[in-house]
Amino acid sequence: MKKSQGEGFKVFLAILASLVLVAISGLLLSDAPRSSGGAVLGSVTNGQYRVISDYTLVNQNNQRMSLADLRGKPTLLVFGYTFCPDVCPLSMYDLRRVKQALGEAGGGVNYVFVTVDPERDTPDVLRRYVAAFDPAFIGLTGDETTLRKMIYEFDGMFEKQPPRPDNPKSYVVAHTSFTYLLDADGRLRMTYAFGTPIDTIARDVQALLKDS
Amino acid sequence: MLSLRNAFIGLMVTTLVACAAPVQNTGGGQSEIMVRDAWARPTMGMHGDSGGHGGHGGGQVSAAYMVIENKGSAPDRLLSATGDVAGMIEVHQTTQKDGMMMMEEMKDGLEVPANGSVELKPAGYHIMLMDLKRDLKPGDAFKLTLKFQSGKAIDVNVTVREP
Repeated sequence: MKKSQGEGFKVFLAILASLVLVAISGLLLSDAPRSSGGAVLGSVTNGQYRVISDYTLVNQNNQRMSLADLRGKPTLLVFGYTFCPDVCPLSMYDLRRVKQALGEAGGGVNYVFVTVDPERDTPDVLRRYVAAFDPAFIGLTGDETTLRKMIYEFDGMFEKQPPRPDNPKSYVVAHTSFTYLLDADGRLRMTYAFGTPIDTIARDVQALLKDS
Repeated sequence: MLSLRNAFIGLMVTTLVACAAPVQNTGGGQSEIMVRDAWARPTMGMHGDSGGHGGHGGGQVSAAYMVIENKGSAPDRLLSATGDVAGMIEVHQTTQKDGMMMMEEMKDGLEVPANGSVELKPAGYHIMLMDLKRDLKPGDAFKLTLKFQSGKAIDVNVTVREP
């Protein structure tokens, strides 16, 4: 009898705990895009979305561009490098498909490719690369230290691999391959795993566009 | 007692040999390789688009994908690929760990199981094309020759298209 009372109390505690959890997540999510399938909620500190610091980089037209310049519109951002044959182009095709899925509203979003290989990805190389996907896409490069700090802030990283001895320019760069969604105020709202369905991302962007 | 122990060791050896046999399969079986659905990703603005001729640096890469089927009773192994489309062609694998994407050359080749198949697809196995000799545009085609451990060399027609 005593034992079953103890069990009952445990169950009560468990229910209470889940209620509290549901309430908390409800609070956090209330003004966030909801999504499923590979999405991770943007980091929340004290109930606030994290604002990404303002890094100053160089865009594909060889002009200085800082992340603050992207504010006013939601931004979809990926890190990659143009020598990457397999994964990076897929992320870029995905960005283009999100834009297509958004229709006219797709014009109200920044699509940004940030290189993790500043050595080879000069503004000129980036210009030809991003334009091949969409003329409106933005390519950003900068000095390696800045890029490294920036990707850390997105909870990502990159690591240049040793080049082959016969061809020093043939190196690959291991890197995290998430797609990030920032809102019009530069706050990190979503981090998507590689391969997240287009519809999922498009729905979240739509929710942000409706907010602003 | 000794003989029992010998018998046990004998049994162990027999078991090991029995286990090893299907892997080696040197007993006369042959691989029978067929390749289908070969395609490659277009290049992204390397030579032609808006930059004029001679652009180089990044973007001079692509990857070829396909399904390799083996209807034979012996496994085989894709060791290498050659073609005049690119200066350097390698069999690669993309691996993912904690969101970190890595790409590695498969120095021992890629196994094609007996009575099975292996698919080369984005974010998995691919034939990496480096130092491309020309732009690859959707609709273009080029030839690759795949070389297998069995000695087979198979010509594949690769069509360029978007993923």
